Amino acid sequence: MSVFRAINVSISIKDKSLFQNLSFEVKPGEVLAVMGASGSGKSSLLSYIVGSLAPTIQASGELYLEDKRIDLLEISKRKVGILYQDDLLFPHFSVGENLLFGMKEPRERLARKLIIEKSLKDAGLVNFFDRMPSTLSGGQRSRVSVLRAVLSNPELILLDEPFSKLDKSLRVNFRDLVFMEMKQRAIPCIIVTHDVEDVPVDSHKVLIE
Amino acid sequence: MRTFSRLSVLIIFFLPLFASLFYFSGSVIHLFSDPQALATYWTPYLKAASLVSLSVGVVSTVVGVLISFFVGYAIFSFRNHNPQRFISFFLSVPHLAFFSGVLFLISPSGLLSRVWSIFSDIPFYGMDRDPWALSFSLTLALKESLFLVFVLLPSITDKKNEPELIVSQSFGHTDFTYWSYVLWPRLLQSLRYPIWIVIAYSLSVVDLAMVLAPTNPPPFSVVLWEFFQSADVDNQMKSVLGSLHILVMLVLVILIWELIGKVFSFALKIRLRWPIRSESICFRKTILGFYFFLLFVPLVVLGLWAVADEWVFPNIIPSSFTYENFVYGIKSIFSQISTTVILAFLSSMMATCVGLIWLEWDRRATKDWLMIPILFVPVFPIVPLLFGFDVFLSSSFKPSSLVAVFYVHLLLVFPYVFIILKSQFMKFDERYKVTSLSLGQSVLKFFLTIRVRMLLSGILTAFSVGFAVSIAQYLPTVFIGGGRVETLTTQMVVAASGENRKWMGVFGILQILIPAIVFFVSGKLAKEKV
Repeated sequence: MSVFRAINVSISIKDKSLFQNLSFEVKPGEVLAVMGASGSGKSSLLSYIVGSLAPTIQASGELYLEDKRIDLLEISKRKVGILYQDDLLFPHFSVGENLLFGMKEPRERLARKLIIEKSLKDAGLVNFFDRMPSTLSGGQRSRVSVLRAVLSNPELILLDEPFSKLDKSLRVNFRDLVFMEMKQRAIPCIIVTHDVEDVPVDSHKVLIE
Repeated sequence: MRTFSRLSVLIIFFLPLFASLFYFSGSVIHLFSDPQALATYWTPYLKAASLVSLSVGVVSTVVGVLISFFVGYAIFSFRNHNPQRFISFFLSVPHLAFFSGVLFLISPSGLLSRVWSIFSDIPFYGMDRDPWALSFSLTLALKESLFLVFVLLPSITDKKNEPELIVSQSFGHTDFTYWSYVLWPRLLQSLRYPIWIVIAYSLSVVDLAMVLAPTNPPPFSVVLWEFFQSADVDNQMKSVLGSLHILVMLVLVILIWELIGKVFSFALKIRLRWPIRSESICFRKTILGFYFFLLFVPLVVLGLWAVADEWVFPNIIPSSFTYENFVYGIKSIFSQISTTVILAFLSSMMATCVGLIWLEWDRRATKDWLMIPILFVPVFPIVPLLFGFDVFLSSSFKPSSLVAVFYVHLLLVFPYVFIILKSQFMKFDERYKVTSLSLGQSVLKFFLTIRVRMLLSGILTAFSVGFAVSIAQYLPTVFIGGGRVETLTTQMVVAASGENRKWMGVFGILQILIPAIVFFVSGKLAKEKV
């Protein structure tokens, strides 16, 4: 797995600077928490990393995954996965189709299906392959969205306040699942949140003011 | 893909639009260098026709807005009922079919006259073609009110449970008070552009005027159409001046309407009370019931004529029925029906595809300033636009009549399709796109498998609306096709001018059925796929 590096990242909206020359590094399996007040540019930072920044926002700075510069690449070529506070499962696809959508390897569909069924089983979702998202509970949907992100083999995962809409009991379970998956698969992870409880104790933290 | 989408929109919409306006302006400038043409233009006949048109524009707009005020209130006050299906159905009925139904109702030998003859020996002279075009204006107001109510529906549904309403009720105010003093002034702002569309339509419509409007003098649009059809050079000059004239009238009626709107607002500010204070369920039911009754009866009469074998005066219903009217009708105009369907299908399909590709691949497509030319087409009187378009085609690549008609249908269908598609795109959560692309998929795969599937219902609605808009085009088809392209709508106008009621009935029902089938199939497809 790769190390993610951001070098001298600056973001501004209409000539108003949100932050300047932010540099950091995230190693495989590590979690970096980006914290700050509303409007400080946390989510814009994630959008810049994933490649979906709105044209009204100006950003500069270099982003690397290992030695590959990614800020000049299209979103689909960056190998950066993202999870939002909503699960964003495609409602017309079954759970299995949602997971297959992001998987390119292995090439045989049957082999991919076997991997998905095993992952579903490990996540406590046995026989969920053909279930439609509308039939799942909030917690089940969240777990499927995490699986969808990790099964696409990203080299970096971004979490944009992914736990904020979950109730307390679901929140703890889901948070543990997410960070366990990241650690097991050695994926570097950046989380944006308001809530310090959402961040693992051993994570690095960046505060944007 | 972005270049392809920009080029497509440029060719199907912006190029013909700006070329039309350019050629029209050029003709106007050229005309002003000929003072003799200006001197002979203004005649008492034109003055009278202009007054009829002004009257139609003002009356149909004011009455249409008043109807939408009361119907909107009735819909608002029924918390658990939403008559969207009825509104959508009546809205999809082509104007010409509806107007023909009204003609069969109010003409001297119409259904009202037949009913009247039971109770009275005094002859009923009919109410169609009255000199002040009141029957025409009121029918237009009734039909256009559907469009205004349709625009209001989503806002009305949203406002049914808003906290301000509860607060108002806790002060002892009725729903009617809340509707007229709080909600309506807000909603009227969002109706501004649709009202302008209604004004432009009422001033420039020709086919409907041929069915119900007076003939001596007719509304100005009909006179203008006669200028265009004439081979006389003087009349050709007059047609350019007339196009300018209709633009001036549009601005004038919009100003009159804005003034009336200001008077309404002022009346509300000084708390002018409506005479209706009580609010019984019966009152609301009566409004909605009467509204749908008025919309439904003309269609019933149209349907009766379509299946009437023998229907002599003063019988209230036909003495015998036959389906052969349909058999002969469809046989006799089968090629025109095919042309209609092919034109409507291709123009709405192409407008939908180009609109979708543009919105998906070009971020500029959602820019507000780009909506100005797109919103401009529905509020611009059709005749000057067609005039410029005709000159543009004949001075550029001179396509065949059918291709030219297809091109003008595309130009006129595109704004409606694009407005619906854009609203669907704005509602779509773009994070789905970011998620799909971050999963390593291409924009094309996201577009085909996610965007189109998730927006299928809206896309099919846009297509169906485009289809219905194309079906109803009369003037563009006749004007740009030079009379060589015949469609169901042109045949219906021919039947109307010959007062062949059976054919009008059959063609009218077909005109209703064809878009209705497309709406129905679209609805079914959307339900099955999502």
